[in-house]
Amino acid sequence: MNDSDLSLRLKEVQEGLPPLLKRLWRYGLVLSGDSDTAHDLVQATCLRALEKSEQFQPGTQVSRWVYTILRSIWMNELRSRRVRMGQGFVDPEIALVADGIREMETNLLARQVLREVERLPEGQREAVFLVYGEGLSYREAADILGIPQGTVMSRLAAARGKLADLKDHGDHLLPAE
Amino acid sequence: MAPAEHTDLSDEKLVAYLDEELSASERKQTAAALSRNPEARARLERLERGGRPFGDAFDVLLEAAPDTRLQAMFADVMTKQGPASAASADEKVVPFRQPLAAGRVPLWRMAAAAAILALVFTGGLATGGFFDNPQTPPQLAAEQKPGWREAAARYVALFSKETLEGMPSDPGARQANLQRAEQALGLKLSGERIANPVLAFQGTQLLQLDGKPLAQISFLHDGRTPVALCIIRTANPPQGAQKEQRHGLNVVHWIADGYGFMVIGKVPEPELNQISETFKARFS
Repeated sequence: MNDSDLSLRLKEVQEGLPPLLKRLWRYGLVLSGDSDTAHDLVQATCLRALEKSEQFQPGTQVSRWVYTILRSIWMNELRSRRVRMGQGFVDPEIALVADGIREMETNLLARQVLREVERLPEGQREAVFLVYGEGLSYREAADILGIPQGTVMSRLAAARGKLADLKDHGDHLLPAE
Repeated sequence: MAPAEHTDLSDEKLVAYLDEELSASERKQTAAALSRNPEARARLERLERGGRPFGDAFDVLLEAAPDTRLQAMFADVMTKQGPASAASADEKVVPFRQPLAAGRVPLWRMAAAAAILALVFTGGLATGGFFDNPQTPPQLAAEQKPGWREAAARYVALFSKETLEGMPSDPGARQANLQRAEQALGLKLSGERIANPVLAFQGTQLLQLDGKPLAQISFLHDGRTPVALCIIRTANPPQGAQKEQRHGLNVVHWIADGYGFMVIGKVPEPELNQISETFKARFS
């Protein structure tokens, strides 16, 4: 790889990041349930992506690549650190809704859906987000999550089964406001 | 085509069917098998009931994203990545952007430069956040808390009445600096909010600690004593007002709504308490 290759990759990453910041933040929020952590995750992801831009494959989508970075920072560094710090997880069931709540008051259905998604186990929540929220194919989601496509499918099936039960049995399963 | 009874009608397959992730031939085969399998149809209906307008719901979170703050963060990251900052110390306080009077270095800038040196040499400061430097080992929250206050206190300790008099005094520049801090922090900093009956507003500086915006809003007390209200974002839980002394200055600090606040100055404790109470009420 020569210098001009390197600088082209860096340029592509530098230009690719700004339009993705909000989406990265949203992914961080879905993972951590906490807007500060989401912000920290985006920052760390940007730094890492710029540092490692030589690993970026030109012509592929910057978004997929940086999602992978964000996720690996969350899984390998932040998530466990939060536990070690004794804070545990910020309760995502509350935080995910609370952070968007001001913007959301007029959108009760969206809020209801997010409350339900928050209740899903992390793996299912993430699969639902990537496939239905980000509109990724099963294959793309599997690549980001580093799992077989079949596992994405079973997580989605499990999530939809739970959500169906919620619909059938009503909202009393949800935490009180 | 495989016989219908051998067609996979697992939940996974049915979800893929609903999500249109099957090839045309698989889809046709699955539909045919479903038509002969009421049990699988029941499962399909259940999975369908588990569908939601997910896209719309997640879009709401996208709209809630703190765009300005994220863009400011990115600009800052890019600055740090630049070749000029190859030796960038991780732990120092530096002004984000310095409003400069032409031909003259304001005193407060010199104070800033001195503070940077002081901080670079002390090193090892931690901040309220736990993720500013992903390479460093995790530190306990308890160890981190004094970090930003110590950094800011060192800086504030260098301020004198003359320092503040050297800061931009025209209302437009003051407002612009206040807004810059407001955007970087994602916290409303209106004139009303920072007004304090016993303090005269002198200006706002947007500093950074470990890449994290740190606002310092400066005042004069009794027309001669610098007092600063410092604000930084923090992941730490809310905490009531506490007192301490740093570098010969009295300090009252608290955490509310994801922000760490510190009021600092060489003002007797009871008066500083009162000043802090006013700010505390405005930012709650």
